[in-house]
Amino acid sequence: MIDWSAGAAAEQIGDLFWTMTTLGAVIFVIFCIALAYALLHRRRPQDPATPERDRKGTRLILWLGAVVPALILVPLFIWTVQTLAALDPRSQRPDLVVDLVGKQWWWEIRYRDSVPGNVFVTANELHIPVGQRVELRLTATDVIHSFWVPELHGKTDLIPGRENVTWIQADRPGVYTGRCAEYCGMQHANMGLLVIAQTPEEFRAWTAGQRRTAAEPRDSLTAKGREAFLGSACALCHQVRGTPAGGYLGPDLTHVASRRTLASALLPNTPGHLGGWIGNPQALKPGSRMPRVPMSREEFSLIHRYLQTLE
Amino acid sequence: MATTAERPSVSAEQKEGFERAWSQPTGFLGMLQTIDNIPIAQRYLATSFGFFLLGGLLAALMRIQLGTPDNTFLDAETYNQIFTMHGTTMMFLFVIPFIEALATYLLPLMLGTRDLPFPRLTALSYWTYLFGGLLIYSSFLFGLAPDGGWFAYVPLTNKQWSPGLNLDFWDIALSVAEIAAMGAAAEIIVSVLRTRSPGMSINRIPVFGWAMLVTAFMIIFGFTPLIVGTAMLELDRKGLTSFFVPENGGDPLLWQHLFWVFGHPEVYIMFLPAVGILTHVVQVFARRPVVSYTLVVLAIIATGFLSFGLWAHHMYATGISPMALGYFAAASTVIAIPTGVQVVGWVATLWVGRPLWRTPLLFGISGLVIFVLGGITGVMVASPPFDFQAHDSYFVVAHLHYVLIGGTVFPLFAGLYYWLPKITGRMMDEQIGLWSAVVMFIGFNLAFFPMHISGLLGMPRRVYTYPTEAGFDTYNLLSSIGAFLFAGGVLLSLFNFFRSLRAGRPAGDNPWNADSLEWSNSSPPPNAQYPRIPVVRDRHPLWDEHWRQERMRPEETPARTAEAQEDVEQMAYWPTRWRGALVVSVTEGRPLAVVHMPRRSFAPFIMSVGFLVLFAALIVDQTTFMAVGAGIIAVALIMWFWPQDTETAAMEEMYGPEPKELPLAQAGPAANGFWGTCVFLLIMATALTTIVAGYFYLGGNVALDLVGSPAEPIERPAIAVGLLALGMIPVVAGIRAIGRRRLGLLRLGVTAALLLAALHLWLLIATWLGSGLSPSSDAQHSAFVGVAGFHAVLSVILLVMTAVATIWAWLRPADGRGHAAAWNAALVYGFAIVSGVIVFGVLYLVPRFG
Amino acid sequence: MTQGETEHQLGIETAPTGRLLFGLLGGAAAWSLHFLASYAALSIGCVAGWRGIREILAIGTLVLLAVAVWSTVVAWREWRRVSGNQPWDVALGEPRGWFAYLMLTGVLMGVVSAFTIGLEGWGTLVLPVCGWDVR
Repeated sequence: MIDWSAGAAAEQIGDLFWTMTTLGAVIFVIFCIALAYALLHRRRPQDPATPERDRKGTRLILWLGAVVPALILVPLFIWTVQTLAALDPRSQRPDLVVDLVGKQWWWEIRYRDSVPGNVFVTANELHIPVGQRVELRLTATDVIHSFWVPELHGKTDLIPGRENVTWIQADRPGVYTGRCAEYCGMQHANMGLLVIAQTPEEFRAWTAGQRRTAAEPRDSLTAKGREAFLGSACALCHQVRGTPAGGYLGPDLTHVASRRTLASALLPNTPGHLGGWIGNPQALKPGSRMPRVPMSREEFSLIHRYLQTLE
Repeated sequence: MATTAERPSVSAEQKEGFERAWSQPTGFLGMLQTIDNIPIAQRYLATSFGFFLLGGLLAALMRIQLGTPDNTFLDAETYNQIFTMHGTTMMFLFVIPFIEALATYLLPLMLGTRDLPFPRLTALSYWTYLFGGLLIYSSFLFGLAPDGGWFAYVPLTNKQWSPGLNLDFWDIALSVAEIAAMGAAAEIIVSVLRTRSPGMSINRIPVFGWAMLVTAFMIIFGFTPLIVGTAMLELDRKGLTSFFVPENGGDPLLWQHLFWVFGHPEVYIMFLPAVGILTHVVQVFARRPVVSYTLVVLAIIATGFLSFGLWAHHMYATGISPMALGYFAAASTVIAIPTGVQVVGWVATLWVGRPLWRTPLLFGISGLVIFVLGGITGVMVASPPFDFQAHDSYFVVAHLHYVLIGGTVFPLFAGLYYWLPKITGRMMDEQIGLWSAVVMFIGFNLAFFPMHISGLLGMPRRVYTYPTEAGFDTYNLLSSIGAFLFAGGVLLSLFNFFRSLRAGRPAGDNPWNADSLEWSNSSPPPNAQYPRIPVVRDRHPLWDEHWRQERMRPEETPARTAEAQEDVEQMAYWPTRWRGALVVSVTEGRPLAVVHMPRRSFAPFIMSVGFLVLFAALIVDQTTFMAVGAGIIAVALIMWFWPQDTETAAMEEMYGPEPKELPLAQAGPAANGFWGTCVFLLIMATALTTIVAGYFYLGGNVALDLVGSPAEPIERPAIAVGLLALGMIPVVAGIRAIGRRRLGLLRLGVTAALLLAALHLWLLIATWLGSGLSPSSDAQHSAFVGVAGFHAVLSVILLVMTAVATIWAWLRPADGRGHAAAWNAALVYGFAIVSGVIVFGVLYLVPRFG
Repeated sequence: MTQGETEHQLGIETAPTGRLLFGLLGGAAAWSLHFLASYAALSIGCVAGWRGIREILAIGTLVLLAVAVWSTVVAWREWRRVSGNQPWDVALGEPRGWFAYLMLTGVLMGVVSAFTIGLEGWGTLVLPVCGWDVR
């Protein structure tokens, strides 16, 4: 069922939600009972339309239709306002700042660092340390997207030409699924991302791994694979740090093999899916910006092999 | 009773003449010429219901696709087109036209007059709506159906990200349909304010009339920003401007503001007429007047106002300031109060009344229950923190369908079951109606309740598929089953309707023992509607007799009633050589004048064809056809304003040897045309406000490299606006000359005004063309061009109107129709001066001193 | 019979158009103005980096709240004046009741508007002023 307990922001929203839902359910039941009684109760033979009844009725409408709702709505509004102030991303200093760039139809993720060399880029998999407040700076380069991980926080839009801010904080380790919530074109349905909350130690280890450049080929076949990759159209759009491949239109592939999913959380990252994805992305994600690149069987298997070594 | 049974008889000859004047043209060509509200409203109702069924078909396709996970019934592209067209159809091609159609049919009957104030506009609205709808649906034939969502968010809908013609179809074809909506709105406003029966003071207007009045104002204030927005989007798409292109300094959020300042009031534009319908249904079937007319009407007005203060609650997640969120949240919260008043009012009426179980009430109550649940979730999503979660998820899909189907579709069905006997003269079957209501109610809840849960579990809107791991399977399957059940219920009612045409029991005048005037007429009503205009003595005219005894009624109002009675007497089966109707004072409902109504005309149909050609050519960028379309429109305009025989007849008769007591209102504040022009100016004022707000939003005022910068001389535009303002002197002198019959002065006045206005426009355009603007690559320049362009378009309209007045003044200076042209031009002239001053201030003074 | 005589005979009491409109729509207009002006001030002020936005908005809120209350009072007094000592609803359905009817509507509209302005004022006091957008 609905579980909004994994993060501080979602929890506060959850409290508000459950209170409003309970209150709403009670009001709805009272309304239904009143309506049923109004329709079904036994009538006295008196005339229904005397001025006295009108006046009484009007007073009743003012009380039940205006005063009572106002008495319920005002405290709710005040609570809303307090929650809104508490959710303000700038109310506390973040422990970590991450840039998130929405693209048709994947997420570019850039970890900031005061040391320029420590900045690194990944895609579709946002790792965060448990218990720490992570600020997200949101932009987009094409159309509007919206970042939504229901278990952690509500949505914030990624808008071209603007930078939005939100924050998330996970209170327990786990993998949380997020989706793009703003209709962003043909493959809007398949623009997922994973938020992976790890203990601070694991997170540090992961960060260190991500900062490294791509692994050197261990055998000649892989080395040939790298050559094939660099010689193909792949390198025009993808970056593999430590090699001449420096494209920026598609996701950074430096550590692609370490990710759990492919194609923006569409497919689990298995050799089979990887092969299918390289071979014909348009079959798996029609309309995807990654074209079907014509290649020979040999080229294909070399590139396939090379990509699996990019851990 | 309001009818005038014991009146002295009218000669058969006169009756015949009267009926001939109001007869409908026959044959195919006659069909295209008809401008009477009844046949047009019937076509309107049928067409919009047809679009409802189409929209429903699209919904069914979506539910098949989403019934199972990873389904491949529809591909992504088709699904996106279908959900876009579903929303677009239901909003623009079903609900709004349908309620306007209902109003077109019912308002004259309900208010006790013979037709709507601008019959040709009624016909124009219908034809443009029909052609706009067909144009947008024709995109399916080319596989180019719009796919940007019914909200068409930029930059996705910019040329760069949607290069196909899909969005051009959406943009342009919808504008055609929107013209229709605006026309109908103008009609409704003037109708409710001016063309009522004597004695129907403002505090006696039927609730449906009030609801439509407020709705029509909301259409004016809401649709105008949308039309401005779509025009800007289309200019962007044609590469002429860059209002919404982020790379050129444009702002995607501006589109969202423009869209939702229409889009949220739109929800209440759909709901308020339903409030009117529900109130009528509740009071008729509770067999007593609604408890507190005052409060129900007040709630309608308050909702109308407040609904313009919550547009940004569709934008909570866009990162606008928390304090602004607070404002929108407050208005969104408060609007629950008028709604609460309405709901409690209906329940109270049923409580003290003696409910009669009939299908209309059943649909009404089903809708009410559904709507209240939607209202409760509405209060929830009004809270920004919760909305961060609910927004753009299936929770909102559930919420909006609860509100719109419960608050609009069910009441519309209630209204259909209630009023169709009046329209067709046949009763619908109660048993089938009952089953239809029950099936629709169950189907609806089965379809939409589970969506609350799937939404909170994380299912976003507008996805063409979802993986099974996401855990949405069961809820979606339930939704799909429910959707088909709901569709079954709708089809049952459709069957009921067709069955009633053949086998329905004859309805008689007043099958429900209802209270409002339309039920005093025959079913179906005659084309002239009221040969004898009724005099109203009560809020519930048909319940007058038994109502009168119980009400504490201080002395009647004999003098006024007698006076009204006399006026009405004169108009019994009169006029016979032309069509005449009565106009009354806004507040008190006192007869003021007789107005001439046009009888038949090809002009509306031809003009709509012109619109169709022009806009279709705009979609595909065919300059030749654009010119053809514009030519057709010009011809239609000339036909429209060409002097009519019947009007000449009216003038002869009214100013002839035996003048009637009531004057013939042709020009000036008593004439319908004057009021129509006022509504037009309201539209223009809204457009100007929107464009100026957009200008500041895009930072036009801080763009110092613009023409309006301190470096740029401002003498020429200053002189231009000064010349225009100077023109007010001859305009006022000319108008005053009409009353004093000094026709030479009228001639001079309008001619001088025409020359000054032309000079002003020429000066301004010369200045702007020479200032080196590049709107296609700079959003701030686009903003400048937007403001300047508005004033230029207004000035061209002004020139045409003044030119027409001038031609009349020289050729037929004593003719009332020419005076009407002069009055209308004068109104526009006054507004053009205001516009000129504002535009000058915004473009030239603010950058200097701001 | 001139119009003035008729009015007198029928006991129709009314007020100058200005007061009528202010009583009927003054509250709603104050709310609309408050809403639009506040939002415009926020949108422009945050981009232009104004100081003291909160204070400006608070003052605007107070002024327009006063206008709304004033309009309510005007409507109330007009309504009571023409209603005399009768029960409040007696004449509302009569043609001569139209003025009382509009003024009663004005009273209720004024209350709703003042309430809304007040509620929005609460947000003015406690919420962060400018956007999460840090462009």
